[in-house]
Amino acid sequence: MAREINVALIGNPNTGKTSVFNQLTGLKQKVGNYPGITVEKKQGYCLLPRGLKANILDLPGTYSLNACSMDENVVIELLLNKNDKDFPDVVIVVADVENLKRNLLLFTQIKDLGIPTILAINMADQMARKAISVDIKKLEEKLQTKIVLISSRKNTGFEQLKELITNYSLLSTTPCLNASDIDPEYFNRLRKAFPNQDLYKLWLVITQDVNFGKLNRQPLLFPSDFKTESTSNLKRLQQKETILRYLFINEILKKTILIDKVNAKDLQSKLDKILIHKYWGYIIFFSILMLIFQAIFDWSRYPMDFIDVQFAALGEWIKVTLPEGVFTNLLAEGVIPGLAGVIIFIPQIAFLFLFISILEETGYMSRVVFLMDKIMRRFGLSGKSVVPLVSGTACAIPAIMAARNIESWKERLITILVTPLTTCSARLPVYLIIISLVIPDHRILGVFSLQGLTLMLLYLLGFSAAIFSAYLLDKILLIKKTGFFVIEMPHYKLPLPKNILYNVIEKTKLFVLGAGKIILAISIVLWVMASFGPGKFNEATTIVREKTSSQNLSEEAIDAEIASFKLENSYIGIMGKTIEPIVRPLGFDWKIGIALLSSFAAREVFVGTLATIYSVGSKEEETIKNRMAAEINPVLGTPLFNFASGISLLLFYAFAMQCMSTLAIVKQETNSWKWPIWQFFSLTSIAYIASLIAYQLLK
Amino acid sequence: MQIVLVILIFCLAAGYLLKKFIWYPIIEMQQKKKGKTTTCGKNNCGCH
Repeated sequence: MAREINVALIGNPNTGKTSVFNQLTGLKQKVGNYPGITVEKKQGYCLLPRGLKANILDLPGTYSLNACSMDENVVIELLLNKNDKDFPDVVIVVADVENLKRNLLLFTQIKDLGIPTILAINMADQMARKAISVDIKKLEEKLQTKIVLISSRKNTGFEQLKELITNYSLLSTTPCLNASDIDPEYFNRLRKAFPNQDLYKLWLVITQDVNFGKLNRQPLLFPSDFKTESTSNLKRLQQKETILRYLFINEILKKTILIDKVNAKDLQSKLDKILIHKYWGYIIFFSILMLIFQAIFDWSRYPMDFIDVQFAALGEWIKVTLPEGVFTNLLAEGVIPGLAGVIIFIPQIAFLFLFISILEETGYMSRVVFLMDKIMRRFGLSGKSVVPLVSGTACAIPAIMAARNIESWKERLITILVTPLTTCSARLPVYLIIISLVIPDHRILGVFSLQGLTLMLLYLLGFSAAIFSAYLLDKILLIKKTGFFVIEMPHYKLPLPKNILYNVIEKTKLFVLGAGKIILAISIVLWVMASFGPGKFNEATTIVREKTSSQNLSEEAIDAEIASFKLENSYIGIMGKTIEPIVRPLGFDWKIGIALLSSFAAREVFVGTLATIYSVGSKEEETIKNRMAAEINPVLGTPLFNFASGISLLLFYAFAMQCMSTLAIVKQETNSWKWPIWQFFSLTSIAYIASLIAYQLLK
Repeated sequence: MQIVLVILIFCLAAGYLLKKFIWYPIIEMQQKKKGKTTTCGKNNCGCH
């Protein structure tokens, strides 16, 4: 059996750490419960020379070992806790060749913990173009470690890196800085109070401004014979440590690195002049958004129609092939329409993630954060709130977790509370089907699809609602605001197809598997509830035949009457009828009411639920869209999904807080039920009022 | 026979939903009550 070692990948944000992780592990990787780049721990493995197997951990990006936010804390806690099962045998610090000075601060801190540390200088392929030369041998001598130049884009240097990981036990663990130099008197006292402890580790444990999860630091903070410094003094000493480290780094870099600025071809500043320009920046950003939403509608139409038709055919085939009976009906009317309600939206979801990944990979997303900071501040948010708000277009869960790097609690709380208003991918199936039913398929100026523009408007509505709510919350919440905004502009680069592909596959898979299981289970439960019922349900045939005996109806019409009567008197029909008075003012019937109710588990359940309810008792297998288009409002006798009810439904989904998993994550992140409960009632009330006004005005 | 299969599948589906949306949150709440520490910062943090 191969011997296993733990390898931790650590580095500053935007050093291409995740690309290095992808190159090392390929598809042999496992992501935590939630999507989102390096918010949670990402693990994978790679096989090394001499039969060694490396378990590789991709940790969140951090600038130093002085944690300011919760995701940085993950790195520090792991490095300080030898009992952690993931404690690394060797650390690879991934550094960006253009920001070596800042990257080395983190490197020296990690090396001083006595863990074998390799320095992997990434983006080495850029060195010639940027006129940078590094004397690797000398740098290795000065830092007393092994260094490798890599390029995840060109896939170079990885064999050498694997060789270095294999020989990790030969690496020197001599510290770069003598910890006592920070404050000899204080460290002397520390040494006396804890004679058996590593001084630098102790220092880090004492100075962290976060509470550890697994690591108990209470005994270190309050021993009887040791009095630690005040918080402000500790901060001063931390600053002194940083200064000492930079003095050390500057001294080394003076002798080992040369940058010829005259010969450097600086494309970045030229691009930045346009992309973060005070007018052009916004115009370009909104043009990109419009292009994305047009593409989502236009490109995904064909695979969507194809999948829809295939599932209808599959349902028909099951009914014809399998023996007649209740189980066959469950498969054809419950399971297949439910599954179709998930699979049909894979093309749109994949396209959405494709575009988001490209924007992130090229480095443009950081420009958007910078661009929006000025606007965000006016509404009580931070520029960093843009990341959760944009990530929220995929899923609110990782987006809310991404708010962890916002330093100010007030800005973080506001971001958490308003993020569910941005249009997540679960809303997309609902929007797409309703838009295609109630908005005409016209083109404006022969180019812009009206349906695509409506979709874009809904996304903008989500963002605007989030920002407006943030403004109100900023005025209402009486929490002191502190914090600062620091953002690094990564270099522009061509996106790596491999990274984008992994990202799209991973996120689409999470949507299908995560939502798919819930949708399938709900479809089965709903079908059973719609196919069985108490009392009158079992005498449906007799009652309907008696009622229609004088009307001279055809056998087909009587069958339809029986199916309709059964559905209304089934368990789900009874439930739906009970809530109908609440949803009728919004233009919905009891069937939509049931779909709304089941959507509180997860929004994307809506389409599958309606597909299941409409197919119960139906003789013909139809596509989901056709079934919905054929529904008639029993009171008005007009199509149920018309412009007024469609807009009302779209607005309800735009505002309502309909995701249990999001509520759970808000509870986890705020450590209180107060905020998710508040969020649930306030957003759902806004949704109801908006739908009510829209329907009453448009009907 | 078909009705037995339907009952079985219904129980599995309903069980899955109950576990996901009722059982797990209850367990999580009980664990929190046992006094697990929070993971957020002590400075400038209003969450506890």
